[in-house]
Amino acid sequence: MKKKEVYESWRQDKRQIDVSQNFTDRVMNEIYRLEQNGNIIQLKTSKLIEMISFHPLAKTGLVAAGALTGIARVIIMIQTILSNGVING
Amino acid sequence: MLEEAGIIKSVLEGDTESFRLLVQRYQKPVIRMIANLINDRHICEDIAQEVFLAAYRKLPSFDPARSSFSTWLFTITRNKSINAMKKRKIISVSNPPENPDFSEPADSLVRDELFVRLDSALKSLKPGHRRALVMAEFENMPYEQIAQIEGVRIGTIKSRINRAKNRLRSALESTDGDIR
Repeated sequence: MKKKEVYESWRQDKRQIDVSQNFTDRVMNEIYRLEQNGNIIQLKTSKLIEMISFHPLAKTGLVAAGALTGIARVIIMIQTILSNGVING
Repeated sequence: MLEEAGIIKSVLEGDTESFRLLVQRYQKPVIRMIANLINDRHICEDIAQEVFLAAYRKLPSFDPARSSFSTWLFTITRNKSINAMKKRKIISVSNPPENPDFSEPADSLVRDELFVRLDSALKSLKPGHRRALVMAEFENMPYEQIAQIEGVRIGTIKSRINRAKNRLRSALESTDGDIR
């Protein structure tokens, strides 16, 4: 038995692989499952955007929430500056 | 046989079922590469499934101008295998040689012993050397493609493969006189 033959035989052995018959189906089922989940999330997001754009009250609510958050942040900032004594020296 | 670019275009246009053709075309080399990199044939199909799912998700970012689809897919395979080894701390298990094809039982025994030696030598290689050898010797990939997958120069790949082969040669040379 020559080394080269042994090596070649080992190489061929390493190239042998059995793939489960249902492997492709398993992958495809998982893809469809993920896609369905993704679609549900997408659907929920698009529904929310649609609702906000079409309902004036929702639109006003969103703008008001944004404005309130902004005002709250400014108040917190001023409070922090005053408590650190930056303005009073 | 449908052209790969056509299949990819169909998938990107929303025909998910076309992706099946890519899975069928590449399942064997992907699973084989994983099996030879991580030494555990029991979990390699799970990792291969992760590879195809990642490929499906990332398909919109695949750029044919940068690499072929196979290079892109094998790069995902390489990365998933490395992650799997890190995550699961896989203990190498030597698979017994299959399909003995030697007329003399003594020959078969010697061969089995040599296969075990080669397997251990393969396992003892540095990860980068092992990956290069697996892609070149078991997947018959050209050096250029391996270099692209590994993100290194061709010279580095050639050197890694040479070193890996020397290591395997040494494993065969450290046997008794039955081998010529």
